[in-house]
Amino acid sequence: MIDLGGFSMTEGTRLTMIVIFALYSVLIVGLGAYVKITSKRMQSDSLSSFLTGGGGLGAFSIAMIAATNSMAGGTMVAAPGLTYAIGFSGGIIYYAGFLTAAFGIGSVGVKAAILKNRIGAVSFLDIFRLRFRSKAVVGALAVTSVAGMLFFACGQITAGAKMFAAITGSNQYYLGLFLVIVIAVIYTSTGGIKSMAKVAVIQGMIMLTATFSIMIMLLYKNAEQYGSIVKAVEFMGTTYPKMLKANTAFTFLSALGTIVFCGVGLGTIPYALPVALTYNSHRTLKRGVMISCVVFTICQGLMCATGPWAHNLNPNLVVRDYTTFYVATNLLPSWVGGIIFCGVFAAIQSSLAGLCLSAAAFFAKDFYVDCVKPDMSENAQKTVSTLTVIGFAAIATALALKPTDLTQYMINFAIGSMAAAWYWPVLMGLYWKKATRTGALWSCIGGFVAYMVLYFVSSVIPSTKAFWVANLGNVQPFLPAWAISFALMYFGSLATQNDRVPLGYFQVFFCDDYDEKYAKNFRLN
Amino acid sequence: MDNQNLESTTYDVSKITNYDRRLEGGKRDAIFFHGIGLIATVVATVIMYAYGCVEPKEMKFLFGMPLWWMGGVLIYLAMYVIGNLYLIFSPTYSLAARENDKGGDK
Repeated sequence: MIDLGGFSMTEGTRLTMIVIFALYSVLIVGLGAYVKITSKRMQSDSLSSFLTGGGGLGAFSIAMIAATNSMAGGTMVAAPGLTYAIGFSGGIIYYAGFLTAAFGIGSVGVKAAILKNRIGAVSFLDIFRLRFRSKAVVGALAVTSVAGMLFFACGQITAGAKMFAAITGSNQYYLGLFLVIVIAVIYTSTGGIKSMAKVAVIQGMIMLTATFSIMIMLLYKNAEQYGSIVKAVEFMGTTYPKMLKANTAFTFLSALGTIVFCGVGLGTIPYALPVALTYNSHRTLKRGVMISCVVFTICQGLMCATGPWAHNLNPNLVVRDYTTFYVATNLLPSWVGGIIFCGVFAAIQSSLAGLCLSAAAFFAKDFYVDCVKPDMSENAQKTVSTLTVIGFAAIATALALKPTDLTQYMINFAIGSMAAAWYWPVLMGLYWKKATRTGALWSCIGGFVAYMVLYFVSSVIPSTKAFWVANLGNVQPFLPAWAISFALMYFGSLATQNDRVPLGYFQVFFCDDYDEKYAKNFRLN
Repeated sequence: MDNQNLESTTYDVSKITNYDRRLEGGKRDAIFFHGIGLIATVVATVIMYAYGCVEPKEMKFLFGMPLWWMGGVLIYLAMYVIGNLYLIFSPTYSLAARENDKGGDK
């Protein structure tokens, strides 16, 4: 038996899971290579095709990319770990993110797709290049998104490596780090979003299987051990009351801030929005959002509720992020455990692939190529894009070298920073006709800086942290940062109305009639 | 458009009349989704803290689970149904560059 801190697994279980995982990894990497070869044969191997899939993805692919991008180590590992530690309150807070696809591509999808067809946008930030005619705004959006995504990727890698350390039974956390990132980078950099679409469909199905298996088995075992589900809840309330209380870990203002950025704020998360450039039909978009919401509702909702049920069966886990792994190895047959392990890795890898692709689009394309070296050849652009994917993965891996106890808090930090920087500049930039480049720039930078400063004041520096808790109700730093970002966007824009873009560009962005010259010459030299 | 100075930056956005109805529809989508999302998350949090801060033996339960938890789940599921009904019944547009163009909406 291999001791994993509060639970153990047999050698046979470990071997079975490793074999299934190895087969799965070969399948995923092979699929990426196949898509790459197919793309070359069809001569669609350009950077544009790499980032947008040529604009022809179907509803199911869109749904699975949207769902698996957002549901990842957080949904499959970190959220169960957190709810194992703090109870059902964590489940309600993180369940709020299940309509992300609707908030995200449902909210910006029509406009992004029409503008893509008008101007030939390759990345999501091309749309803002047209809207504000400002390298500073595009650069600020690109840099803040990549910074936030680095911490988000770090959270994903940490979750994956922890799972790997558990399966090997020898605490091979660092080997896990290496394997997680290598597999994700290989299939991302070979096939781009087409590869991701194919892989996401497989990964989504595995995640659904894993989620149902875990929840059904947890409820069955609780009912078996305590006589019924109701009696299991009664036992939980008597023996571990914190599992049933709403205020176990979050104050009202802390919960409100977290629930708002997990719910609404996720709608403008940078790595989710590029999906808006991958389809050509509104019907496809709608179907994609609906399917994505179903998958997300099932996976996010059920996985967020697994922690307390697992705690009821075994309250002794030393590493609480092992909750999912405990269920997979101790409550299910080893071959099902192997599939669940693949499901967890699938979630993490698809999310990492989305992050790597977004980093390639935002940093390589939007920042470096378009803002710094606009005369770069197509081949050189692809090289920069590939190097960005590798560099991004390397930095995120370096950040993950010293893992946190509860990975979900790292993921929270990342999501909060991106939502604080992007929410108002993106939504008001897209739809508020009086938005100006100055307002957008202040809003993006102001929101990001405010979040970072307030996060450290509220959560890192001991003296200010104590003050924050005692006098400010431990308010989640996202809320004030979000308010500051809105105020800067609104008042900054109203104060700089003489800073508008020329009417020709405004018409391309908002009107039904426009001059093609402005649509085709939106890039900044 | 011929009579307009397209390089002008002093235009009045309230006097422009030819806004693309599809792009305005996108604005309605955004307001709707973010509106119901914000309402649902705030209401779910209020219910959590209104009913969930007492000891379990004093808590109200619904379908075997704490009322605050079940209330939050039901609110989210209601939001899910409303969101999907909105998607089903809202207008479906061509995504072509210009609405009357062919080829953009496949």
